[in-house]
This record gives sequence, structure tokens and C-alpha cells, in this order.
Amino acid sequence: MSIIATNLTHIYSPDTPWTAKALDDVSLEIQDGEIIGLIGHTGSGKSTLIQHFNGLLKPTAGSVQVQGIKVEKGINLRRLRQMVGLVFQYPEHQLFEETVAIDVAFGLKNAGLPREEIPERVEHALGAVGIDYETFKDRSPFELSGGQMRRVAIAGVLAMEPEVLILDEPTAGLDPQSRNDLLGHLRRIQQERGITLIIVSHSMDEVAAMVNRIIVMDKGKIYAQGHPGEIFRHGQELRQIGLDVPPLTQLMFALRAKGQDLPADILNLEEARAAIGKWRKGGQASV
Amino acid sequence: MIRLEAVSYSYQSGEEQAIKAVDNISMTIEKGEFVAIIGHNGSGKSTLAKLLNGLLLPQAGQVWVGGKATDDPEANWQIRQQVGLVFQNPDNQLIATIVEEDVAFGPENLGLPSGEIVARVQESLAQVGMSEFRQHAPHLLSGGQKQRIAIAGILAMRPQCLVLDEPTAMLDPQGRREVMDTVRRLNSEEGMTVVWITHHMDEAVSAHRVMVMDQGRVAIQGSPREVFRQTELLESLDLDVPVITRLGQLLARDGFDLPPDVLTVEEMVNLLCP
Repeated sequence: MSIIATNLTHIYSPDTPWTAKALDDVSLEIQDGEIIGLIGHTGSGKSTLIQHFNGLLKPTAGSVQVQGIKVEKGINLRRLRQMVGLVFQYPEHQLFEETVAIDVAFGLKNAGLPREEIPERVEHALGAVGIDYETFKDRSPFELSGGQMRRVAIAGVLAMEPEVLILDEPTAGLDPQSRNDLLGHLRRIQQERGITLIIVSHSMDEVAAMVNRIIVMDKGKIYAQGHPGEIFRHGQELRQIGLDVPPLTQLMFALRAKGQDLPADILNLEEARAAIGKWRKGGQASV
Repeated sequence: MIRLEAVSYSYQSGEEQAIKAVDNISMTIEKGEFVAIIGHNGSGKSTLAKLLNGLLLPQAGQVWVGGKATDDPEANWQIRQQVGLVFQNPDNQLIATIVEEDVAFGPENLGLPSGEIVARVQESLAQVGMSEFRQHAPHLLSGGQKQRIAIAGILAMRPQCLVLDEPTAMLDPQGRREVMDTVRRLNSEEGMTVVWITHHMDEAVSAHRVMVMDQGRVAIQGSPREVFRQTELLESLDLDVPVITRLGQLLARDGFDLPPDVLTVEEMVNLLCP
């Protein structure tokens, strides 16, 4: 079992006028090798939740266990953080070294990895996100495009070879091409290494195609969870908690509202195309 | 309102060859128009935005705003007042600790009398629907609210044109809707000229005109319908077509009687189930 949260509650600034309950009695289990889409409106608690998974935050009440380690005061954070790689929003803002290779190696050096093992790990991590080591290793990270910078920053976390990889809004601000590239790399990394992958996003549409399970958060609680198709079926409710309903789901709901027999849980263009084709045929047969 | 004549702009990066960010572009933006500019990163759209109000000056050609050239030093201040620029990250655009002070920053720099400043701040906040937040601290607002405050700060300068460079890229879906609705209303009800730069195709659907940029040039332009029916060309430029448009084209291939330029869910519903 990769991650177990039991009755997890987190309160920021307790006993002050600014106190805020960011997580409210959350229980969940994430299995090894699962791909999770963690969805929610800003302020829903999703960032607070993932910060418990690598020990940046500790529970106010309840408990979190990650790979068998209980997240509490006095734990070995170094060991936890080697197992759980957390990529923040806009990770490229954290690039600072002179060259791409040195930047990606930063965590490895701090972890005390033997010097001769470092270049291979760096090359491997850059390769995993589609950055050619020989071409880029001596370049300044600040000369790269936005999408490349982001991938280099992610490589810095991958180089630690985490068993759980968590990315907070990994595609925010990227153009469609860079976004698809990045998601493609993440999918492949997950398949090759069999790691647990958690992607935090505002957009259900974006994660639907690649995750096993979507967890929707609202007001510090788990609002819904399940296979993407099951979640999409609740499209209208999700709009009310500030989430985007993909246009194809909106279309299906609008047609159903007109009394048409169409599925509510389509995930992509091909499914919509097939469902509408079938609906049309069924309609003609019954005339 | 704004006219570009054969405008070019290049960036010099180290020893390497100059990169032509904007390459011989001529275009006109009419008063009251809503123009969406789309293109992938590096296509030149942000450079174009900065050329529109004289933040960058053309290296070749000329940009005219209301009859004045942006490279005329005497007109520079007036032009920046007329064409207001809103950027991607609202946090980089807010400076004061109270919303109304932030909005007042521009008019104060114009040296306006205080009564006029107060009036403008009130009016601008009302225009973006943020009046009730005038005493709040900007950093405690949501992304969409912050971006609307940034827009109010520009409106307080009484511009004739708003240029917004990916104003929703860092916002969540609700913030995106807030900012889009605010700017659409400024355009439709108050006649504000809008240049909206984005890579979200669905944000371009309601524009009067869509310009697609690629390698510093205008690759396609026209009404959203004219542009989005050119699926293959857009895909060759690494751009998505709105998913509803794409669905319409696929269904047409399957024998449905659908045009290649269905843009919205409502249209599609009415076509499939009249």
C-alpha cells in the first residue's frame, strides 16, 4: 500500500484569528503503481493534502502513512523525501544552477550519492522527460523555452528515483503542444518504473485519459472519487463546486436534457463520436 | 484604432543569429473590435502585444495608435495610456497592500486631482465587479479576483484598448470564467477594443476575429468559423481545434449533415436535436 490517510485533518494557524481548516477528516488509500488525478477548485485542500505525503506538513489530527512510514514529528524526512518526489507548481522558478546538468544533480549531491554515479542518473532523468543529455547538459537552464525548463525541473525530482511522484498542476501555463508532450512523458515514466503517480489539476479533461482514479476535493473533504467515467457522470454537480466540465460532457448532458438516450460518462472525442453514431442509428430504427 | 505597417522585431541572443519574433506584420485593429490572437509559445504573440503600446518599438515598419506612431517620443506616454497591457501573472502586477490603492496607482502617477482619482477608482472597480473588495488586501484574493484588480488598474487610466497577454493562463476554471466574462462585457457593453492573446481555443470562439500566429507571421486570420474549419492547417501549427468543432467534423465524415465550423455546445445540440 503506497499511501494511507486516516481521518486526516489539517488546520492552519490554529488558535489565531486566521485559523483555517484546510483538510477535514479525510480518509483515503492509494495503491502502489496507481495513477491518481487529484482535482479541486483553488482552496479545496488538494495542495495541503499532498504536502502531507512528503512530510512538508504534519497532521493536526488523524494520520498519514507513506510506504509504511508514519508522517509525524521526528520522522526521518530525508528518507521520506527520497521516496516521495513532489514537483511544485511552476517548478522552473526553482531552477538556479549554471547548467542543466548541475541543476538536475543538485538533489543527488545533497543525498550523498557517490560522485561517479551522478552523471548517469542525471542523463537518465533528463532522457525520461525528453531532454537530450549531450545537447543540453552544459546549457544554462535560463536559455531554455518554458516547456523545456519545466521538464528540466521535473528531471531534478526524477533523478532521486522516487517511488511516489506527485506533481502540482504540472501543465499550468504550458501551450497545448508542451502540455501533451509533458503528459506523454509522465505516462511513459509511470509505465516503465511502475511508480505511484499523483497529478493535481483543475482540469478533469486533462487527466481523464491517463488516470485510474479521480479524487475530487471540495472544502477540505473528498467530494467524490472513482474511475473518470463515473466522475464525469456527475458533471453538473462538479460545475457547482467551481470545476470545469469538459465540452463533450456538457454536450451529452444537454442532449440527455432533451430526452435523448446518450451516455453521461464519455471521456474523449472517439467515445463521443461512437455514442452519437449509435444514438442516431437507434433513433432511425425505432422510427 | 491601431495600425501596424510591415512591423518586424528580432531578439538578439548571444552570438547566435537573431530570432525574428515578429516578421513583417501588417494589420489593423478597429475600434470596438474583439481580436483573439492564438499561437503556440514562441510564435511571437507576446512580442506583438508589447509592440501595440510602445513597450517595444518596431525595428522596421511602424505601429500607429490613434494616428500617432509609437516611436514618437512625444506620443509615448499618451499611447501607453490609450493601450493598456494586462499580463499573465496577476501577482507581478499588483503593488499596493489595499485594493483601491493599487487601482489608484496609475491615475496618481498621471497627477490627477484627488477627487478625480477617487471617482476613477470607484468606477474601475465597479466595471470589473470588485467594488465590495476595495478595502481588501490583494494578496488574499483569488487569482481571478487579482486579475480583475489588475484590469481595474488599467481601466483607471481610461484606455481605449485593452491588450491581455494570456490573462487566464495561471487561473483556475472559475477565475478564467470571471476574467473572460468581465472582458467580454467591457467589449460588448462599453465598446472597449480588446486584443486577447491565448492558447485556449475555446476563449477565441467568441471573438470577432481570430489571428493565428506562427514564427512571427500571421498564419491565418478571419472569423472564428473561418479559422477553426481549417483543422489540418491548425494541427500542422501544433494548435488544437475546439473539441466541439472537431467532433462536428468527425461526425460529418460518418455521414451526419453537419457543417465544418460548429463552435459551441449549444450550436451542436441544436444541429443534432432540433
